[in-house]
Amino acid sequence: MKKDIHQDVYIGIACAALCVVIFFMNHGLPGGAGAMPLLLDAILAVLSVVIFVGGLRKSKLPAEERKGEKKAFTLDAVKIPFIFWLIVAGYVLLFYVTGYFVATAVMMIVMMLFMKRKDWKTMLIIDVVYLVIMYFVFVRMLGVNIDGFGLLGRLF
Amino acid sequence: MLQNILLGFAQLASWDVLLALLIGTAGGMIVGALPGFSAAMGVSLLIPLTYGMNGTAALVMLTAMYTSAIYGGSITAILCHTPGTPASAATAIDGFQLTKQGRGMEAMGVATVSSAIGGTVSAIIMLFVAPALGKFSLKFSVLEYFLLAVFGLTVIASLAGENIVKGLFSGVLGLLLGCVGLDALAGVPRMTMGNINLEDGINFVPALIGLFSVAQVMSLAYDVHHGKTGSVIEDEENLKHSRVLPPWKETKTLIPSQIRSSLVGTIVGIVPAAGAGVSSWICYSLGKRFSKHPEKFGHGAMDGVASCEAGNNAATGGALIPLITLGLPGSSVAAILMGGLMIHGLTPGASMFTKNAPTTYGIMVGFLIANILMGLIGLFAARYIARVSSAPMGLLGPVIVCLCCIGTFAIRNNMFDVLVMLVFGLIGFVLKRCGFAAPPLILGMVLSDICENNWRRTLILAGAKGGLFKYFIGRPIAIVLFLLVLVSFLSPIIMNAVSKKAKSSALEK
Repeated sequence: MKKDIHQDVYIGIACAALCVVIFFMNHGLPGGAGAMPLLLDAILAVLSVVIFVGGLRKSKLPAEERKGEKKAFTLDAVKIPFIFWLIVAGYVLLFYVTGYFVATAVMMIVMMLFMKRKDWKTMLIIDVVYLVIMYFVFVRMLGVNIDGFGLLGRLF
Repeated sequence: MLQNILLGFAQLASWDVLLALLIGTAGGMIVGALPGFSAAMGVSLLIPLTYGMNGTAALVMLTAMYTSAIYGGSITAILCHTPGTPASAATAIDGFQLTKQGRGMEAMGVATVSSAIGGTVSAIIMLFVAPALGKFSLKFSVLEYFLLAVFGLTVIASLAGENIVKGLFSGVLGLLLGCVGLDALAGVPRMTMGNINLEDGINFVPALIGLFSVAQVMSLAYDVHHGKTGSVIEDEENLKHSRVLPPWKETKTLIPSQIRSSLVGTIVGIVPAAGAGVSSWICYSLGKRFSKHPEKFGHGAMDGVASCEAGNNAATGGALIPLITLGLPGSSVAAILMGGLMIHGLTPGASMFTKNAPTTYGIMVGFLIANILMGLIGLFAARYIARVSSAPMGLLGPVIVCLCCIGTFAIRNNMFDVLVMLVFGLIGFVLKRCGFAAPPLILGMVLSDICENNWRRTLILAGAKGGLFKYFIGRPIAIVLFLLVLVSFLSPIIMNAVSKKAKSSALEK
């Protein structure tokens, strides 16, 4: 019978891999600068092993005891949040081209559509009201120069 | 003392502080009333807005947001059995039963008054206890500050969530992320990957906005796609046509519960790691024990609502005491507030009661007024604020993401901070999915610098005074703190063993 490996086994391996990366980043730093990061890295490595061993133990549990267990990375559980994150990343990258206000006007609607909103009137009202408030609060009152950011922003 | 308190009132006598107080209080109620949005998220979103303000206005706004978000959580807990914040989970038990009996607005009124009493009592205690504790901290040197930071780190076990090992991993990872940047003593870049933007370290505010807000909206996106799109309030008619407070005959019977819970809540709040959530459960159970009708608990007892609401708001004032006086953040919100203090040039400890005394007293008096204001606004506007919870998540989520971006950019007019926020949003979501709690990570990031620098300075000082052991033995406060660290570290293990033993003996019987 094929054994279902508990997710903590993979999480433990990923954590240990992270520890190796951290070790090489801090190894050989002069003047005692690497002491604290290396000490913390060693603690992380021990905890990674504990997570890994815990995962192995959980893998051996009978199927009935593992019924209610939530899996961290099923496609269903992470697909929507990751797509949403990519939309947000696209929104941030759009700042560099169009500036904050144009990017927000477009991407807020895109995000609302992704969140299954269909009432265009409400979406447009929220979009416009948000942009007006942000302009007056951040640009005019707080002096944040976000309006001058991005290729389009520099033109004005 | 009285002169300083009057000085605190004088600090509030300006339009910007009063406006900040009002915005913080009302904003906190709204954030608290939104299920899934915590006080930590509200405070972290608000920090970038405070950059242009003076220290008093900024911190008054943040602390007002903290206390009123804890109260706001009771609105949905009572009306729709969905606690707006974890601190209101106990309130939902009796609050929702009362709503089902058609007394939802009365329960709301009791929650409002109890929260205001709890918060006010804790603010008064803070005004009198904090200065004494602050003076005491004048005796601290680098060794004591190091041990205090370690004491703060022992809190991680209780913030860890379901899995202590993963919680510890989060906390240590936070300490490690706090090491990124130029080393303060040797001037060597650490873990910067050659990026000049990282030489100042990872900015704390974008990281926490990403961890708490962006990650939360990512989870909301999942909920929306799985059918959770609509309002959470089932009976909106109940909001429109009912009285706000129970009759005076019933109201006066709640006063002992409110006072007891206020005092207990403040003490629980002072204890690192306990916080508003733990306080509300302790006060609920005490309320049941002292009640004349314990059988009503769980079936709609006004006493139950009063006990937990006074308890959880009292804990907010309690949590501010070790934060301001010792720099000891006992909860995730306190850790975020500590970041807020540092951003405005305020270092927790003795200096808060010497050179920064006017600002400190302004903050404490502002916190007192915020609790009274919260009660007044709550009594008049709770039924309207409750409707916020019917706002669709599909509209709120995108607005919050856009706010996160502009708020993060506003910190230093720097796009790199927005990228940090974005990356930490993803890290926060992945950590959450894998069962790692985010609050220990934040606590680790906040305490990392204090911990490392004070430890290295301790070693230099101890070297000049005949060795670490000799130096340590000569400092009685350090010995007491070291024992406290040991007790705090071992108590969860001992408690766990005791509870297992009790459980197994109960099963045998």
